[in-house]
Amino acid sequence: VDGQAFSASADAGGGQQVGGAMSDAFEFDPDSGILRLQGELTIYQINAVTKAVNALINDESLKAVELSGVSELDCAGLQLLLAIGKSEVHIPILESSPAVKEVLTLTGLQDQMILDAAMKEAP
Amino acid sequence: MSLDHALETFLNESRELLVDMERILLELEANPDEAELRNALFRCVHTVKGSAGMFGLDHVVSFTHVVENVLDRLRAKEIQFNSNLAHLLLRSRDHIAALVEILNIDEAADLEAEGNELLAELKPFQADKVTEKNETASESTGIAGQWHLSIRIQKDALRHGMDPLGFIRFLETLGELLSITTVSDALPPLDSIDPESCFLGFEIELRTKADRVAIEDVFEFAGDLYDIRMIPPNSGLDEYIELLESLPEGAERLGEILVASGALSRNDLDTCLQVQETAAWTEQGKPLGEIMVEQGVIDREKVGAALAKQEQVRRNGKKRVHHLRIQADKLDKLINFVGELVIASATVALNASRSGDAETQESAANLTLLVEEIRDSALDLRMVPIGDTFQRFQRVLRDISSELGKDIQLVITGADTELDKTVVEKIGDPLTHLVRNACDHGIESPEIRRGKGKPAKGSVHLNAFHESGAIVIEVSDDGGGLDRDRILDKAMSLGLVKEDTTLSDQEIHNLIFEPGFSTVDQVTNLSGRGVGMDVVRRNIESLRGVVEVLSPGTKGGTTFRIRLPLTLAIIDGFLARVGESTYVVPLEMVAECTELDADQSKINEHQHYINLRDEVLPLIWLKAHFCQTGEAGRRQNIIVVNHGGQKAGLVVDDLLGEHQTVIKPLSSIFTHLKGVSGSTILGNGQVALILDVPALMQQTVQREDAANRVTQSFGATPSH
Repeated sequence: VDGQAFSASADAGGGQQVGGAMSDAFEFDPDSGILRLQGELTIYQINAVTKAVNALINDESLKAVELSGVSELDCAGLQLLLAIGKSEVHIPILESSPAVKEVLTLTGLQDQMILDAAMKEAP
Repeated sequence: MSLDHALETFLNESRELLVDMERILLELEANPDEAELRNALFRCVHTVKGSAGMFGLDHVVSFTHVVENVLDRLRAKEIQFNSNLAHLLLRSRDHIAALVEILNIDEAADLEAEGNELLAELKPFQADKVTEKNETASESTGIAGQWHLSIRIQKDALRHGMDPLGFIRFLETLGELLSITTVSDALPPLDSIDPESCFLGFEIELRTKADRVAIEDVFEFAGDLYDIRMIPPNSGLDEYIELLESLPEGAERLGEILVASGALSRNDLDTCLQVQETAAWTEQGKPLGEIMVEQGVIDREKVGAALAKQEQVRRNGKKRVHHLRIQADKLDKLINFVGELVIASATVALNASRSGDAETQESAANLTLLVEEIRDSALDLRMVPIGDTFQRFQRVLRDISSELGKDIQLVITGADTELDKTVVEKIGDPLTHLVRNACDHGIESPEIRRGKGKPAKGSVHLNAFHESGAIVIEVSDDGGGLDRDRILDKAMSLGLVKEDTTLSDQEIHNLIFEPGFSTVDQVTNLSGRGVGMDVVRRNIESLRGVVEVLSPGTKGGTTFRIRLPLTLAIIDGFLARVGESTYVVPLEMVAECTELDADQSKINEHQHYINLRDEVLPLIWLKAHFCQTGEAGRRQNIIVVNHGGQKAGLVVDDLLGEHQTVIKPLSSIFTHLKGVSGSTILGNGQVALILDVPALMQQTVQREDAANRVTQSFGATPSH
């Protein structure tokens, strides 16, 4: 159901081809406006995820990003999180996962404001 | 370069490092106290582990980690290096080499048993868990200091699989990461970001005992994709000023980062910024260092030190030879094109000379000259020194001598001699055969050697040198040499030689190259099964080379001499007309050309020699040999060819001169054709056959021998 809801919103956001094959990298809940990223968030998924995030921001349906299901984060994934944190519309990043937390600690970003929420809620 | 390419690079580098490791281990066995070797050994494994970690090859990392740990202790002289450990480390090296080749983790299971066995054997050499962290974290010498690293990354780095996170994790193994600041100033807004490009930079404070080289090594793998600036511990402010100026974020922004990370104090930063501002409006010709001294910010001594350091870096930079990795098939393609170019330019030269136009001829001559140079440089690209191939035998010899209970050393000379990469690749197997044979059959057991008054330690000598357009490789031993009578007996019993034939020593020695020939009664693991020498000869002949055996050889025992062409692709040829066909003789074999003079021209094809300046010159009548028809030239010519110290005269109808010859292999149905090694295409589109002079000479020699035997037996009869 979530996948369908997302596809619809993506179409509204300019008819981009998102979702579909890539839907296992993320899940969007149109009711709460939360985009759940899950599994690997690496250069292999980054194009699809970035498209999805931009589409959701364009049609103003994205309220927050949630990371508890992210099992692997690379530099490309990290850049996306930083870019989301810098975006004009404030999109909080909720919850974190051990993989995300490890990268943030490694890169000295654990104290940055934008990811505060992510760190606080980390297990 | 994609991720696959990065992996390919990793594979190549790891292979090279592992080859180094083997060499170093063997060197270390000879000089166990050499500290530099121990360090180098550690670095090899360390780098393999690091790059494997970058690709998440956990099966490689977990095993190499243990080996690295042992090597680290070895480096710190906590454990002794002895031949047992050497053996274990060599086996571990082989295991790592096998692991590296397996990129699919599922296949690693096959190697697990061996891995576990090795791990168990390595265990006694390993450090206790408690000290492990510190052990691996430090470069043995010096005290820990605080380095500042500024890392800026090319946009393409992520696409090439060079994720900075991997490098930072690896940096952590060198020491303690005091602080990291991720510089994301260059990150574009979300809606215009290219998410596969890298926009991040890192400012890192690293506390480590490692030296500059060790830190640089971490990033070596990333090549040009990473721009690393390092400030060593206890550096003056000038280094920081330079850094602030050179980075794209601007001095103020970066200064804040440096203060926040503890690299600079607030005061230091203010001084730096002030100096920089001053520099901006002072006349440009003045070096920054001078300005600073004038301002009294830093003393002259410090500037001097910094300059000396820069000078040193510059000098080191000059010494370093830069290498470029190129895919072999790209090179092959280039060489192919060069081959076509050579043919095309020959056509141009031919047409020019036909046109009779002087200017065209001159341009064509220029073109030919340039093409020749291009050809030589292109072929030179494929040339590699044979030394690496020779070095491999250190290990082979070590293993063999322990297996046979003999003490044998390897002596290498002429390692710089260069030859074509294709030839190098194919010569390895035959050489291995010869070296093993030398160890097994050639060199006697220590007892026998002592009895003969020779040193107990035998030696095998590998030598290479260039000789008239060919490379000669010699494998010599100081053993007992070939036993002429035993070989003859064996050959007779095998029916290779008839009872009543008279053979020269050389011919008898060459019998060992016959299929199925072995005089050793006891078959060992290494050799003696009678396969080998004929295969060796076949392999070498397939490279257009020849092998001969000398006994006694250059070192007293036996010497195998292999003569190979430098390259397989293009040769300088000498064109000659025979009947209606054109033949090519490799120019490096042509000693001279002479006319078949008046009284000699009376001789016909049944005369097989002439008197050339009081020397007997055997003749090969090409027209008869190849059954050519057609008008003989008014005056026939002799091309005197020289091969392996022997001369022969090829009788041809016309000399057509020099020609750059691109060798086109003959199709497989002609492989058994003796006397012809290939073909080429001439400028006029005609095909010319390339003569295989050694084979031709051999055929003549055989024919002469047969004739001699007939004469001898006729001559011998009356005396009975």
